[in-house]
Amino acid sequence: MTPSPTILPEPSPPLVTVTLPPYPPPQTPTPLGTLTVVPTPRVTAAPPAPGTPTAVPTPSGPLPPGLKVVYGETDGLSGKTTIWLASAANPTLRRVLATFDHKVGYGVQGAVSPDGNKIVCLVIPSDAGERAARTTAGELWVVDLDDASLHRLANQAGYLAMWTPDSRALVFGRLVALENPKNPQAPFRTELYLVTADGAEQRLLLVDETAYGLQPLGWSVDGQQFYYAIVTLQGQWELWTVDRTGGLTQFQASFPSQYLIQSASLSPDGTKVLLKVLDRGQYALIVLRVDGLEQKTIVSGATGDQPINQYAAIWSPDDQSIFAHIPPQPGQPAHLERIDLRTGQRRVIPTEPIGRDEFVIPQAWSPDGKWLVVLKYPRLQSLAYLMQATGGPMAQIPLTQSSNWVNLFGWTDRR
Amino acid sequence: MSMRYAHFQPLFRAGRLLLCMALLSFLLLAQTSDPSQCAAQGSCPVPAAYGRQPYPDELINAFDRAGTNRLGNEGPSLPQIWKGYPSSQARLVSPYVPCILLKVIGYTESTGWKQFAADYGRYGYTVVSADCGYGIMQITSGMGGGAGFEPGRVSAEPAYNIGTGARVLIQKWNGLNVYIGNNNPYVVEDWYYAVWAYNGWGWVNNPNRNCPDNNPNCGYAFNPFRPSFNGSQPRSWYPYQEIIWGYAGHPPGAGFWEAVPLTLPSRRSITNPPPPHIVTPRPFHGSCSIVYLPAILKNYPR
Repeated sequence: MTPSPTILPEPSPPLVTVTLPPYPPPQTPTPLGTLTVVPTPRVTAAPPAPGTPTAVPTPSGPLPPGLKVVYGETDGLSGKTTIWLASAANPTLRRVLATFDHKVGYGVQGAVSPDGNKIVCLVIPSDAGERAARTTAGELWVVDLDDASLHRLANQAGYLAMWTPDSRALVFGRLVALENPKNPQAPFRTELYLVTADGAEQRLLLVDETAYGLQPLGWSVDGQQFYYAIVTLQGQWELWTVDRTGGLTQFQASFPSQYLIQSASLSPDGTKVLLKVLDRGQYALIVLRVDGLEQKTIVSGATGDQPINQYAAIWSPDDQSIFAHIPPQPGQPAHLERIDLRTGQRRVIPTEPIGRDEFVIPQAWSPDGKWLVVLKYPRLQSLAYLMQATGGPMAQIPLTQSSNWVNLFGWTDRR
Repeated sequence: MSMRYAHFQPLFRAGRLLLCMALLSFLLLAQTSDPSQCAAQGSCPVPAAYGRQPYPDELINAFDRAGTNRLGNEGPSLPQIWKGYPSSQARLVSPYVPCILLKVIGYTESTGWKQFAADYGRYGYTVVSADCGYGIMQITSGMGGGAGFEPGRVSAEPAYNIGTGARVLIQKWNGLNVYIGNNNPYVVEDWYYAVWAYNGWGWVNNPNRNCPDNNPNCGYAFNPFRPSFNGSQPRSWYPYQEIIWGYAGHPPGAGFWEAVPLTLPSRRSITNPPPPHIVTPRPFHGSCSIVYLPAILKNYPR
């Protein structure tokens, strides 16, 4: 074990360095008759009707068993996105799920349902204006991972949906411009809707036109409360919930007011919020209980205006750890760490050597805890990598053209 | 989905135009005088016009003249603009909008300065977005009339459309009670807040509206690790004004504008809500040619 050179706000156990395992990891032998080669990205034989999402059949068969990543690959110049399903163990094994034509300059955002059966996609239509593209122009489509069928779920969406824990419904939001805003700083009304996955029922959950901003955070573990943060016109962040059934809102806690809060992320079990804050010129990561009664600084001290100087962190699927990009400090380059929230133990996660001006930031942690997706700066839009959560070699999520954009939607074990 | 509409828009619009003309003839014959009934046939307030899509080099003069209020009869009248900070020391001066901003906003709004849905030099109908934004500058506000400009000309005339974009920008500048530097319209960097407001003031374009889980694809916030925009990244990662600043320094081709490496304010200086005053980011820049050549004197290759 190597003693940690990092100064922590609280005493912490030693830093642990792990040796690099091979990539790809040992795999289950592929059953005969299943796909073993990379399908060449296909040109659709007959162009689909313009703007119509196309479910592409998969004649080449299912992928090998094991966890898969679902991601979008966007040609930013033509406004076309292909949704791929790829093996986490070997992402070059992939198949097309659907394609979308959409507004040039925008990708397709998506989220896999917690049960891994469906994907919801937010698509900005080609004729949307620049303002509408940021507020109300989106269309929500659901792709079924079993048969690649898809159906339109809702129109006029501005926010990507968040699935309920039971995968039966999801929340989406929109920003509606106000004719006569009460305060010029808040010229939009935020609306949140709950819609069932089959589109049969859509209900307005929440309307707010008093806050400066509203940020959806996620569901309580029982799926009954939806957490969101509002930023008041005075700049104060507050945590609120809205009830799934009745639309009743309830104040939960104020976020620490002494910081400039930059982002908030709800833990998977809905009991804690991870905050990235700026405190008198220094960045810090703070974990706050949703009732506001307990707050803990996880790491702090980073300074500087460049992207590399910021912390970045994601929750582990079991809520017990975070995975963080740690900015460079004297004598220590930027690196990834896994931080155990119970013990405070910090473990450096080794990655492949990267360029001098590059660094990687964590983006997603697989539900089984084994895999990570990281992005490499500065080409974050194109360079996404799969690696084991213990560190090691990184496998790039494949793109048909290197200039295309990659956009992770989530994880599934469907084939 | 939308492209379906986009592809068939000209046909729909042509049909709608014919329908409107027929209806207008009927109304005139019936001695009623409410042409707005015709416009009401469509979902947007003004019909699309049919016209020739100019080449980019044919539009550069219009941008330059619009920014310096020299469009004359080709454009709408521009209001005077406030200059000076604090506001107690500000005064109204001749209208001015940095030409680089007009050019970049026009490109961003209608990729390639497209007034009409046609290739350069060809004819087509006005580009009208699903939310009723018209032409090069995607004018939405005031298209119902009564806003001090002629909506029909916004739809039909590229130069008038650009001039109306300049008018909207000046209105944004004059209407905000937040300021950059000395609130000098001749300093491009001082337009940061006004350009933000051109797309949507408030939280929607706040640069600190970060993705909560560092997922740049989270869809309702911006990538906190985004490098400066250079035209190659998804627009959804960036506040509108950062896209405009980025394109200014990274022109999409040789025919649009000379690169101007505009300076953004530090993201950390923009709080929630943004502060009422921040200093001008340095180095700052000016814009617009002092002398312009009328189009007729230019030796256009086409």
